[in-house]
Amino acid sequence: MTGISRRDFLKLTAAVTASLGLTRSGPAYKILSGTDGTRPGIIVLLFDAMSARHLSLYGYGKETTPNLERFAQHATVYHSHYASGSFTTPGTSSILMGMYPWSHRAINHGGLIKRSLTNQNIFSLMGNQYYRTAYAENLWADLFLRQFQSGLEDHISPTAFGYQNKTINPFLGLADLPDSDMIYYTFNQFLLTGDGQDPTQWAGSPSLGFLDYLHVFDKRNLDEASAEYPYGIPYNSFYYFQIPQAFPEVTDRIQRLVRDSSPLFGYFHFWSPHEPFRPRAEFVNKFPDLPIPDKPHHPLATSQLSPADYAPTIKVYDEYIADVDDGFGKLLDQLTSAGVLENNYLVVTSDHGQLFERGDSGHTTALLFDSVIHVPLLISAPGVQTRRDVYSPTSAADILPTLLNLAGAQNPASSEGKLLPGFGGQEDMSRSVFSMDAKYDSAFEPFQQATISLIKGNMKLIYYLGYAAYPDQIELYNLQDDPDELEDLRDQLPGLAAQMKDELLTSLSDANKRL
Amino acid sequence: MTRILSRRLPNFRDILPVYAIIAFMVYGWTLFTYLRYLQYWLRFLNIREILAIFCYSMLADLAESLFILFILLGICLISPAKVLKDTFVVRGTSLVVCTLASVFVFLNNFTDLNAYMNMALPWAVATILGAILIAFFATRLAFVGKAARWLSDSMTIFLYIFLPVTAISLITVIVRNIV
Repeated sequence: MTGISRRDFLKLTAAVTASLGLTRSGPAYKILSGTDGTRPGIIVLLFDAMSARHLSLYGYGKETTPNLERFAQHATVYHSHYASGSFTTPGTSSILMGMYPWSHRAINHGGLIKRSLTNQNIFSLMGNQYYRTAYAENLWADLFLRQFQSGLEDHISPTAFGYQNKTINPFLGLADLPDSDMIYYTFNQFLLTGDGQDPTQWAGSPSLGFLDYLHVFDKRNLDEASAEYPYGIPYNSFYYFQIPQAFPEVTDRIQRLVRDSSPLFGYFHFWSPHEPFRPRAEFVNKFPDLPIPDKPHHPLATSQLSPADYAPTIKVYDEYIADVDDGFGKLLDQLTSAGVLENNYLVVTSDHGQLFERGDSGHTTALLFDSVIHVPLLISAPGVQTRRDVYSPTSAADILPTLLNLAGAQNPASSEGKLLPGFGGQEDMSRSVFSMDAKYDSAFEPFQQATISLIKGNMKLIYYLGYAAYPDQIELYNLQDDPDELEDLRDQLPGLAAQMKDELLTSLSDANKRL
Repeated sequence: MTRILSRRLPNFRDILPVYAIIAFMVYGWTLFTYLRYLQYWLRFLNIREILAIFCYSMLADLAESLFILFILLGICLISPAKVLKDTFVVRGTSLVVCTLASVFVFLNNFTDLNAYMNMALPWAVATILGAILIAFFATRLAFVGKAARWLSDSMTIFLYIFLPVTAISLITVIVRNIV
């Protein structure tokens, strides 16, 4: 019989320890928590419009996220994490409020959180024991930070990190004005040419509106192909940015804040990989094309796109994600070498995904299929070197109670989220997670026309409320057996469909009562 | 300095009607657009917030209308009197009406910044040339001059609405930013 060598014994010990860490039921590690007198720093990095379905971290066929995978080796990875909405406004507000859109009511394009609830935001609840800072490149997300100013020590201007303005708005960078949310609406959404709003993009000011066109024309060279940017330089609605410049500047700011203002609670909301997808040259043509499933056209789709139409957009989206992942990798290296992760939690997530199927494209869609609501969530804890994988459904609304728990702060009664598994919560496959889209409804009244999805275990029910083209329909999918959501099981499993619909309608009714 | 300014600038009785036509067009466009946006804002903004946008817009309109007026006065300052100063009401009105009307047409038809930015520069050049041409002939065609005078004089009445509303808006904005 061959004896076990010392080296083999150590290997075995390491493997057993690691496998214990991967066990679903037991705690992976001791949580450094505010409840035991310490106050860990917490840094949230949000990458806008990053669909989990396009990340190699979650099994996508293209290796889009090697750096997220590297980070995952020391983090808790949530495999069934869901945004609460299909675009920035409901997606971000649910993270910051710990509520579903039917409660916080930020449901419209550029909408605001219900005014009576604004003091329930994560910054205010975290308390002034923390140095609370926030930055959002996405101005719809920055609107919330404007609503939460009293809970922030440092509201970083959206133009803080060396961008070139695409608009002539003189108030774009002045996020700290007392009435800055109304100033935002006046200039960005009304007097200037608008940021993709409905019902019209007419500029309310003839001079500013026209000068805006001339200004954009003057910056047109930034939109043209260059050796480094074959699709032009990335931009959001209002300014151009470059990941190799912006990410290091944000990283420097984080390092400085951690050094000077601990404990830090920092929220950093990056626009990338939101459209327009503009990867750098080194990421273009990086991946071979994958077959795109041909899914049936949906009655609520806004166009007639086919898989062939999607192919070029998917290609460049994936390349752009790889570009963003590269930027994240450098950020991670710098934070690691500076020792920031030794005493700070790092949360990486997204506010919503991106949809390329059934005739629709983009993310302000009424179709709540997985690619638009399934988003990444990874959390690394100080001193933890092992990976943990969580497969039970979790929600964007869970982030607030979990982070408050880590900070030793009180979770408000208004929160609809639960503690995340691994950070005080347990895996619960029977737990219900909701996502919704009601962007054309009134924020002040019960939903009239909305799409709401309910995920419970592996099953997903999508309920379509009040659409003339698809009135009060449901769809039922098994996400484990049918991840592409091709086989509608509503007729095969009528009992389960009815049960889940009842639960969804009851929850909706309860939410309406709280209005 | 004051003597030079008074010699080169039109008198107040001529400036006022031209300012009136500028204000009518700038404020009028904003109010018209504001009404179009109203049904959208009503989805998620309350009445106070919608009125706040109105107040900020009125202040922006005041700044914008004065800015356009100062451009005209600037032309008076640097050009011979017969170019604009001596015919300020007729030519000033013609310039303003043609330029702003052209901008309205542009903004009405080309509502996507990225798609139509290439149109802006040729449109601006064509607008300026066209406005200069019309302003030049306005003093040579009696009915055009008469129409310009009538129009600018008639618009003066609206200043009695716009200016008090702007004053109230200013107070509202100050209060919102202090309280």
